[in-house]
Amino acid sequence: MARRATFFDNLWAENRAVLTVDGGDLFGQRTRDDEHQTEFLCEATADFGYDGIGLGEFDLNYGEEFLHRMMEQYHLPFTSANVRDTTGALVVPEFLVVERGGIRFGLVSVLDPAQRIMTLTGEEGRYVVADPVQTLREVIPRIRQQAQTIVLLGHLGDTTTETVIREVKGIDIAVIGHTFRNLTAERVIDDTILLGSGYEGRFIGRADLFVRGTDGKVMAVQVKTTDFDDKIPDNPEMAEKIAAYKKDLQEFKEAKRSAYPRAFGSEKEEFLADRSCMGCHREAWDAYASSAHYQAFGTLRKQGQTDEPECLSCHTTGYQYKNGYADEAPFNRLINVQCEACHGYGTEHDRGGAWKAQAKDSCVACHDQKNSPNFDYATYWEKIKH
Amino acid sequence: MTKRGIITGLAAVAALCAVATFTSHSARAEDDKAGWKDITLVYHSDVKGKIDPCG
Repeated sequence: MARRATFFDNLWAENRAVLTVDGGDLFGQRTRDDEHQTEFLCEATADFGYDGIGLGEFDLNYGEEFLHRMMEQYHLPFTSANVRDTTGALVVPEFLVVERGGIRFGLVSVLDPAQRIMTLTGEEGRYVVADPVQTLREVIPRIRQQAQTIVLLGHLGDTTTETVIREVKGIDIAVIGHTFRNLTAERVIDDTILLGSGYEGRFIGRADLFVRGTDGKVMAVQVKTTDFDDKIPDNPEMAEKIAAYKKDLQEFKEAKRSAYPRAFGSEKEEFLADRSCMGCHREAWDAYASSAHYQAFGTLRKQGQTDEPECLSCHTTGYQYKNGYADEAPFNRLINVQCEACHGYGTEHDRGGAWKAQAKDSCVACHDQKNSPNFDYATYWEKIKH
Repeated sequence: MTKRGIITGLAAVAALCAVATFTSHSARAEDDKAGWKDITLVYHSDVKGKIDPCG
C-alpha cells in the first residue's frame, strides 16, 4: 500500500491524463478482522482517486450497507451491470462515464455468475447475477451513446473474460478481475485489448494509450507492470498511516480476545488432539467423527467467523484454557469440539488413565440458553453416544 | 521534344506527384496524430483487503 502510494506519486508527477480502475475483489475475506482492515484500505484507497471499481463477490462480503457506506464515505466508484437484488434493482451503478484527456470513457463491469456471493450479514440469497454476455450486449450500445472508449472491468477470471470479449462486440479494453495472473504485456483479441494485473496488490499495471480523438479508438498501447518489491520505496506518509492502523487493528483483536481470556487449566498440561485418542478409543473416535462436534469449525468457516472469540470458544477445543486452540501451530490443530473439550487435557489422561469424571457437565458451557435453547442431555447424548 | 525527353518529363511529373502525394499523406498522418490523445490507464484487481501482500 505504501509502495502503491509511491507509484501514484511518481505517476502524477508526470502530469499525464490518468484513468485508474480496479477489476474487483477490493474487499477482504469474510471475517470481522478483515472487515476492519478493509475499511482502512478503503480510506487509503480513496487517496489514489479510482475512477471505476468492478464489483467482485468479495466486495459484498460485509453486506450491502457496508459497501454503500464505503462508496459514499470514501468516494469509491463501484460499478456492476449484472448484479441485482431480488427486487431487480442494481446493487451499484450500471456503468460509469468518465472524461479523461478529452476522451469520454465508459466503464462497465460484470461478475461471473459462478462466483458465490456470501456475506457476513446473511444477505447471500438476496442477489441475482445475470448472464454477462447478454448483459453486455444489451448495455454496451447504451454506453456507446455517452462514451467513446469502453473499458470492461470483467470480474470473470482469465478464461471467461476471453470468452466474453470474443462474444461481445464494442469493448475497447478489458481489465481482467478474479485472477492470480499479472499480464506483463497486452493481448489483443479481436478488437479488444486485454490487460490484467493481480494479485493482493503485488502488482499494478500501466497502459499508455494513444487514443484517436475523433472516435475514441485506441490506436496504440504500451504496457508496463510494476512489481511492488523492495525496489519501490514506501511513501513515508502512507507508511506512517499503515503503522498506526496496524496498532489499531491489534488493539481491536486484543479487545475482542480479552472478553474470552485463557483463564483455565495449567501451562504444564497439553491438549494432545483427537488423533491421539483414536489409537486406544477407536469406537469413541468414530462416534465423534460422525457427529456435529467434528464439523464445528467448518460451520465457522462457512460463516466467516474463524476469528471471532465469541464463536471460537465453543467451536474449538480449549479456547479459554492454557495451551488450548490458537490460530497458530501447533495449537491450530485443536479445531472442532474434540475429545479433550469435554474430557480435559490428554496429558492428564496419559499419565494415569483418568479423565474428567463428569464430562457431561461440560456440555452446558456451550449448550446454553442462548446457543442451544432446545438442549436436553438425554436427547443430545444419543447424537454423540460413545 | 525527343522520346527520351518526354519520358524524362513524365518521370519528373510522376516524381513530383509522388512527392506531393507523400507530403499530403504525411501531413494527414500528422494531422491525425495531432488528434490522438495520450492517456494512461492504471489498473489492478483482487487486492482482497490486503494492506501488504502476504510474504
